[in-house]
Amino acid sequence: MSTYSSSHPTNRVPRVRKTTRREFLNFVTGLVGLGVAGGTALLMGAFFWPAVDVGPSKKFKIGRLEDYPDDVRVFFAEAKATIWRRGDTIGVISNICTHLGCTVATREGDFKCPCHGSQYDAFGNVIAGPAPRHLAWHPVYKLPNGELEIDTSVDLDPSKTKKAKSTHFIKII
Amino acid sequence: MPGQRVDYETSFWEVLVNLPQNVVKSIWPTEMGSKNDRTRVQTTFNNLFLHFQSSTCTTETLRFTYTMGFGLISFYLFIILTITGILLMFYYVPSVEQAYARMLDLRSSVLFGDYLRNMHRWAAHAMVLFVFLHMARVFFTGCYYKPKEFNWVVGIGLFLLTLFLSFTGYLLPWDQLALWAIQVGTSIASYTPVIGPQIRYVLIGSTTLGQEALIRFYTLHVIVLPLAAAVLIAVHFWRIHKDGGLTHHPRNVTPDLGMKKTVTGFHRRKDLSFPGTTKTYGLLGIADASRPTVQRQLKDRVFSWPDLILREVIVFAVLFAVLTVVSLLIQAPLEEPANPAHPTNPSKAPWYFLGLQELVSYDAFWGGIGIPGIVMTLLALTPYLDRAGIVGKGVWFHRRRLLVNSLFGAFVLLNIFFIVLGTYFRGPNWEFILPWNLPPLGKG
Ligand code: HEM
Ligand code: FES
Repeated sequence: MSTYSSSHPTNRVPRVRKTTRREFLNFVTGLVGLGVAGGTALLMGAFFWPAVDVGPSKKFKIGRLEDYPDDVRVFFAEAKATIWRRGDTIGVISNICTHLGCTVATREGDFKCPCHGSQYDAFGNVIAGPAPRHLAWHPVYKLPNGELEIDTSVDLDPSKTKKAKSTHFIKII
Repeated sequence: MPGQRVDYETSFWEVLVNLPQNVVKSIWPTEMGSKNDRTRVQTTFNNLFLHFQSSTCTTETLRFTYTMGFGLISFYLFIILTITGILLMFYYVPSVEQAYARMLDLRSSVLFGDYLRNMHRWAAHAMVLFVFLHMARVFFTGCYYKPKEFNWVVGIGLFLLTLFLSFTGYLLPWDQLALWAIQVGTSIASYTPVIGPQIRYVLIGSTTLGQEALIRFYTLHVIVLPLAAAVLIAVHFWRIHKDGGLTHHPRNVTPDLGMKKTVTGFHRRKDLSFPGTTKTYGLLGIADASRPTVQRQLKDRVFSWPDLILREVIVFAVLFAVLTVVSLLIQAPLEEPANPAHPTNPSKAPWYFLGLQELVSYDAFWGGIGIPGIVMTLLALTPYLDRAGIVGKGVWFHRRRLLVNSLFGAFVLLNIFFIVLGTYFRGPNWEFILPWNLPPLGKG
């Protein structure tokens, strides 16, 4: 960079001025100030981040296999999930709408959401409405005492498609 | 004698007699009222609260058909909401176990509880309406041009705050409306690109709706958002004052009245028609020769006291009377207690969000974030994009503003269209339905 003294004004070549010490220091001070402000904001943001999620447990005891009639989809309200026994297998389908999270109604042959009208077939695949993906499938375990437990925090088929890759009926032995 | 000096020779009897006057004088040391122009100015000028507006205003902007008082009404509603809200806080408990029962208490056992709750709710609905109407009037009269561009942006901030305030407000009863509104509202937030799920987690303080969500929305509703709104309203009013009052059409006002080019290039209205007082803006760096202003006839201007302020008082009286009658007669909605397993069917937001609900029923991202985000950004940028400028300002539906007014008009009509669609044409499972087939809504 070259500089031109102001005593030699010329309108051909643009005048380039050296940054003064004051300007440089102001710039650096500003930068440091911004950094400190940004860092503080981030830390304050972290304050709003709960370290532990104190929400209710996502595991539910649902009784025994024999409690469920064969091939009837039963809504288990507490877990917001539908239990579907087929022979000695159990499928657990989430009732939480994949659109905006309303609880869908388990109806004979399908699921229907009251909030914006999404509709799913009996297996939770989207057939109508704004829902972007199929309903989730949850795992089911047999406890030592013979009771069944489901875990609604686990999604057995996280694919983002309207139709699930497969159904997840789990054999209870 | 009023204002008589009290010295040691004054008898104690006189001190007593003058006491009331002296107390009043100590609070309002200058003469006020409509005696002469000076007292008229002083009425506004020497009062912290009234001085938010300047001591004179143009007759043109005083016409009711110009502003319709929409901004003023929005402000009054904010004040009424603050007061009734504080009163409700004395009985409300932000706990998922207690909140709903507290609503029932307000209805049955708290003196005026019902009335206060109704007024708080109806004033909130009215505020959303009037802030929107105010925005529309500012737009259609072309009042966001230089130097008011930024005040329009402040206005957009206030509009969003008003919506967030009402949203966080109707969650507090923890009834069905509350539960499904947070469910849907925070799920919309989780469609934000990249950080969506994190936003939702911070908003509700958990992955599942419950106590954490309620206390967060409560804190936002009773302190964070109202405080932010109060600050923005103060900025909004201060800017109107500093920018020389409300916009008026340049042709309708005698030019250059009291305007003066100052050292810094600002146009300032000097104090007008009374002799002997001249403001110098020394502290603001606009020091100007301070000589007594010559008596001038105010053609297009009147003093804010009494012309403006009395009108403002009348608007308040009417507004409060209407609100009182409505709150005495119409119960604010309260649905069944929150039930996570069964949303009401259909589950509808309050009317002002039904347009949005209709939009998200096509697509969650575009309806809830994409389109609203683009529309609000465009609205906020309007004063910087629209260059119809000085010709079209200060008049309703000016011809030079045909294009922008049509665009904004389309925005208003689309809003109404979607709200009507969501309100009257959507039945159980959000299916299309004709209004006369609608099931009766909202128990209680
Ligand atoms: C809490 C919400 C609001 C309150 C309390 C409020 C209050 C006011 C008041 C009292 C006035 C004086 C004129 C009148 O009454 O119309 C005014 C003017 C104005 N408002 Fe608002 N306002 C709010 C929201 C908005 C919004 C949403 C916008 C636009 C996006 C806006 C933009 C403006 C502008 C540009 C002016 C100046 C108008 C002119 O120069 O004639 N305000 N506001
Ligand atoms: S939440 Fe189910 S359709 Fe929107």
